[in-house]
Amino acid sequence: MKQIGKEELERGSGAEGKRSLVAVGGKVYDVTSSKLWRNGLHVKTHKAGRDLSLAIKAAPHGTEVLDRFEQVGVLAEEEAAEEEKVAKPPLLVEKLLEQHPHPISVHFPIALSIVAALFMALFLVLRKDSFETFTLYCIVLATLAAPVSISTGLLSWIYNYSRVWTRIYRVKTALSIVLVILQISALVIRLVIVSGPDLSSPVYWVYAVLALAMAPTVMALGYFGGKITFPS
Amino acid sequence: MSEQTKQLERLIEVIVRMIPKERQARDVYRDTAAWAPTEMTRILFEHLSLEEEKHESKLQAVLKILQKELAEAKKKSKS
Repeated sequence: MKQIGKEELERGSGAEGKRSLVAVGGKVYDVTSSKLWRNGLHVKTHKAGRDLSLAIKAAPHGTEVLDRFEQVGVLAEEEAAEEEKVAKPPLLVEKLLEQHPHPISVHFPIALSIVAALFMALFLVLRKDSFETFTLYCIVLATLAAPVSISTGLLSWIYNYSRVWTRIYRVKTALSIVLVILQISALVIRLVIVSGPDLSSPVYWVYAVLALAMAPTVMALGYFGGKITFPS
Repeated sequence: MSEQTKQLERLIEVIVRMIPKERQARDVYRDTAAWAPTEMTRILFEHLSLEEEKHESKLQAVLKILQKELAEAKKKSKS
């Protein structure tokens, strides 16, 4: 069968009386006779003179519609589009993802951060030292839990969500970074700089604000996570 | 970000949300077909599993097309 290169395929655009050629799966078809390919345009979207292998996979019909057309050649080897396989995770990762690690792990930093903020607020109002201590413990645990959530979220993004980089994933990434910064900054201040709950110290108030800020941050992360998972 | 870019991103987010659901549906039907008590139900669930696989393939193809369109739209808006 005749080998058809990219330039010859492109000349089969169907425009100005030219014939309409389309390539699918390495085969080149002449669709000039089809009413659905007038002037080399199909459903106002697809143009002749191109490799439509990918487009036909997304079409409401399959390749069977090409059976009625004459195959006039095969795409020259260097032009044939390589079939892109969907990235399959390694077996261990696949088995891990089946256990839904991200939905499980996110509950820990979310709950701990909200509780930390709540007990910080209670401490600021009631001045009970035990509330302040509990806040610290919650922040420590939330900080330890965050990397697990983030890494499972990353795995999910790579293998379940095809690494798309749209607004929602940018926002989640930014919020995750903000959360980690809040957590580490809070712990550095509380464990290294201040010696204990000291409301007369401006630095301690920075710690208090950081602790309180964790709650809206994790709630926003949860909200956008929900938007990814559930249709609105 | 142009309106076209925003719309393409939203479409991509929809597609990407649905692909794992098609995969899960496929797995549920396939696993059910494995223990289906009658020949009729086994054939039915195997058929449903194949349909979900076709849906996933279509969504994967649409995703690739939309990602290309998004890349082109972003290039256009930068120039």
